[in-house]
Amino acid sequence: MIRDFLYHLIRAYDIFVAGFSIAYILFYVFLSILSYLAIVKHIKYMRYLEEDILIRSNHILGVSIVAPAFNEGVNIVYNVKSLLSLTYPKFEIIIVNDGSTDDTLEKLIAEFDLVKIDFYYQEKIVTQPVRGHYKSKNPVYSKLLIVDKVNGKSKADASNAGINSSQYPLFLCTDVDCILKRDTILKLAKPFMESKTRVIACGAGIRISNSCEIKEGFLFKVHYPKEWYPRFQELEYVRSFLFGRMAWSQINGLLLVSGGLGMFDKEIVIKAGGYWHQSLGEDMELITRMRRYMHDTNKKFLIKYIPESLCWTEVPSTREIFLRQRIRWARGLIQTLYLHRKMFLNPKYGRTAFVVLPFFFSFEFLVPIIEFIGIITLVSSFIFGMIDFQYLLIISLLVYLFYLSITIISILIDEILYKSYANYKELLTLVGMAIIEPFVYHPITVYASLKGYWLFFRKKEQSWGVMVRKGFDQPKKK
Amino acid sequence: MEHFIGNIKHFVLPFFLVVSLSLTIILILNRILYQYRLPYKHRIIRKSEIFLTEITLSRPDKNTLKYKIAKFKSEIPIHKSWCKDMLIEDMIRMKSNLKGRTAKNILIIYKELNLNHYSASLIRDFRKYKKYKGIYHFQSLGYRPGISILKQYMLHPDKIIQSNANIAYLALSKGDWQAVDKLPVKASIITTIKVMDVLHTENIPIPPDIDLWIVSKNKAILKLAVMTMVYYNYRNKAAEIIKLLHHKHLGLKTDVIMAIRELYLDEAEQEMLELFYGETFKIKLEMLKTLAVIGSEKTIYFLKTEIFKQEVKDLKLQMVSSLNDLDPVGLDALGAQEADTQKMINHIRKLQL
Repeated sequence: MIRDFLYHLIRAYDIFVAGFSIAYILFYVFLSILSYLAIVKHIKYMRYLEEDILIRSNHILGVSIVAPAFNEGVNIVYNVKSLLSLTYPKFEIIIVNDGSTDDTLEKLIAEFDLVKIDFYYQEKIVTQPVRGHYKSKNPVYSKLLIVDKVNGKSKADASNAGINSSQYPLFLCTDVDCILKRDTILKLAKPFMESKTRVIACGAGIRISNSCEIKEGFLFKVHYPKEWYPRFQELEYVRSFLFGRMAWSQINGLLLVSGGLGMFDKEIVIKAGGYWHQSLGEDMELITRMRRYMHDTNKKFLIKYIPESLCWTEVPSTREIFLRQRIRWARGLIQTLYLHRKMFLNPKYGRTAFVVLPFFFSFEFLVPIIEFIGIITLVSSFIFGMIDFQYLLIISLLVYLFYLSITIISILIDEILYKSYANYKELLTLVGMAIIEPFVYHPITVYASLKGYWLFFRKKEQSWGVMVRKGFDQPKKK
Repeated sequence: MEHFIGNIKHFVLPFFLVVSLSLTIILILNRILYQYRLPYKHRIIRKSEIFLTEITLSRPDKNTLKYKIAKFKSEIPIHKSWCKDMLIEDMIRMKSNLKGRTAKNILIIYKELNLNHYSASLIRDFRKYKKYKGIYHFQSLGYRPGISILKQYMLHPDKIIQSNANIAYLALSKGDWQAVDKLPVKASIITTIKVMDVLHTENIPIPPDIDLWIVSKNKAILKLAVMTMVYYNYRNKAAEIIKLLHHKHLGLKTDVIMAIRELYLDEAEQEMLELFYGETFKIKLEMLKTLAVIGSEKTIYFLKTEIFKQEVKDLKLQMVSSLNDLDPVGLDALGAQEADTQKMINHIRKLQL
C-alpha cells in the first residue's frame, strides 16, 4: 500500500519535473532569441547617434556618481582617482563615507585637500544622520563631494544619502572599489537621452577584476580569474548579463540592475522611495518598486541594458564569503518577491505581473527547492528500488546539454563582440568551467539559496557581512 | 511517455550535443585564427599610420603623392575588408584633427585607394548596419561626390538610415536645407542634435528660411529654429521666440527658455514672471535660471517676495541662487531674517569652492 503510494508520488514528481524542464528550456530558447534581437538593436543604434556628437551637444544630461564607502581606507584614494578619470562633460562624484571606523575619511581629507562646507542637505529619502559634506579647495577636484554620515548598516542607506546630496537628474550607483571604463557614464546616459519613452534605469555588463592587472585603481589588462570561485562567477556573469538581461531588456522586463553599476532617473527613484535600507537585495527591490510606481501612476517607461562590460569588480574568492553573499542574494530575492506579492498576476502591472514576476518565482526562486526535492526523490527511489535509470539519465542529459549550449552561445557572443579574454587558453578554461559547473559549483549555489530561504522564513537577523578586499596597491600580475 | 522519451533520446539530445561541440570548436578556432593574424594586422596598422601621417603632413606634389599611394597599395592587403575599414577609420580620425590642405590630402588618398567605391558598396549593401557605416564614411570624410548616392536614401523607410542620410546630405551640401524642410513632425531629438552638430562642424551659413522655421507648425522644426538662432546669435525674431513660451510642448518650452537666456532676450522677463505660477516644476527651475541672467528690478522684487513663500525646497534654493546673481546684498538681508534662507545662501556660496 505505502509502496504503491510512494510509487505514484515519485511518478507524479517525475512528470512534473519533465514538464517543468521543458517549460524552462522553451522559455530560455525564447530568451535567447530576444537576447539576439536586443544585441542587434544595440549595435544598430550605436550608429544612430555617434557618442562624440552627443558629448559636443548642449543636450547632455548631468550625472552624479554615488559610491558608498565603508572602511575602504586601503584603496579609497586610488578608487576616487579612478572615478575622477572618467570622461564626461557634466558629472560629479559623491563618495558617501558610511561611518567608517578606519581612516577612510582622513585619507580623503588629506589627499584631496578637503574642507567641510555648509551644504543645504535635503533629506528627500530618510537616512541615518549626515555629519557633514566636504569639498576640495583644489579646483582639480571640483567634481568631488564627500558625504560623511552615521553608519546605517546597509549600502542602501548610504546610497540614499548620496542621492539626497546629488545635483544632477541622473545618478550612477556603483561600489567604490569597482573599476569603470572611461566612457561608462556616456554609454549609460545615452539611452536616457535618445529614447522617446522615459528611461528610468540602465545597466551594463559587469566583469570580475580578481586576476586583472590593476595599478592605482586603473585597469591595465583583463585576465580570466585564477581562483576557482571567481572563475565560476565569471562564467555566471557572462551568461546572465549578455544572455539573460539583454533578453529582458528587449521586452522591457528587467527586474534587476546590479548594485555594482546602474544609472537611474533620480526623480523616479525619489518618488519610489529610494533604496530600502532593510533589503538584502536592494538593487532588485528598487527596480521592482520603480516598476510598481510607474505602473501605479500610468507612466510609460523603459529599463535598458547595454551588452558591453563597463565595470570590473572584485568577487568573493573563498567559500565562506561566497556563501555569505549568495545567502544574502537568496534572501533578497524571496524578500522582494514576498514584499511585492500583490503585483503577481494583477492586470494593473502588465508584463511585470504576468511575465517577469512569475518567471522569477518559477525559474529563480523555485528551482533550488525543486532540485532539493529531486534529490530526496532520487534517494527514496533508489532505496525502494523504484528508480528508472533510463528516464533519469535522459532528462538529466537534456537539461545538462541545454545548459551547456546556452552557456557556450553566451561565451561565443561575448568573444565575437568584445574579445574580453587574453588568449584561447583562457577561453578553453572558461569552456572547461562550463562543463564542470553543474557538478562542482551549482550544488553550492543551491545550498546557499536554500539556506537563504530557510533564514528568511526563520526571520533570522539580516546582516551584510564584510567583503574582504585584497587591495590594489600591489599590481596583480598574471 | 515512452514515445516522448524516445524522441528526446534520438533527436533532442544529439541536437544539443552537436550544437555544444560545434560551437566550442568555432569559438576556439575563431580565437586561434584571430591570434595568428593579430601580429600581421598590427604590422599593417602601424604601416598605414606611418604612411598617412607622412603623406598628410609632408604635402607632396600630385605625382609624388600618386606614386607613394601606388607603392603603399602594393604593400598592404587592400582587397581585404578589415584593411579598408581600418584605413578609413584612421583617415576619419586624422581628418577630425586636421584643417585646410592637409585635410584635403586625406580625401585624395581616400579616392586614390578606391575606398570611396568601398563606402558606396557599403551603402548599397542590403544589410542596414553596412549602410550606416557607408553613410558615416562619406559624411566624416567630406566626400561630396557621394551626395548623388545619399539622395536615394533620404526618404528611406528605416528611420536611422533616413536620419543619417539627411544629415550627411546637409553636411556635404554645406547648407542645402531641403533635408530640414522634410523633417517629419515627430523628428527625434537625435536628428535635431545631429543637425546642430553639422552647423558647428561644417561652418554652414545661417539658413535663409530661418524666419519661416520659427513660425512652422512642425514642432521639430520649431525646436531646430530656436537652437539654430542661439547658435548664430540671431535676435531678429525675438518676439516669435518669446511667443513660444506659450507652446504646450514642455521640451520645446525648455529650449525656448534656454534660448532666451543664451540670446539675452530681456524683453521676455515680464512674460516669464506672469507665466511662472502656472508652470511645471522643471519649467519653473529653467525660468529661474534664465531670470538670473536677464532679470531686472522686477525679478529682484519677485524673488524677494517669493523666497519666503516658496515651500518646494528645490525651487527656493534656485530662487536664492538666482537672487544671489542679481542682488547679493539684498539676499544677505533676507538671510538675516530667516535661518533656512541663510543656510541656502551658505550652500550656494560655499559649494563653489
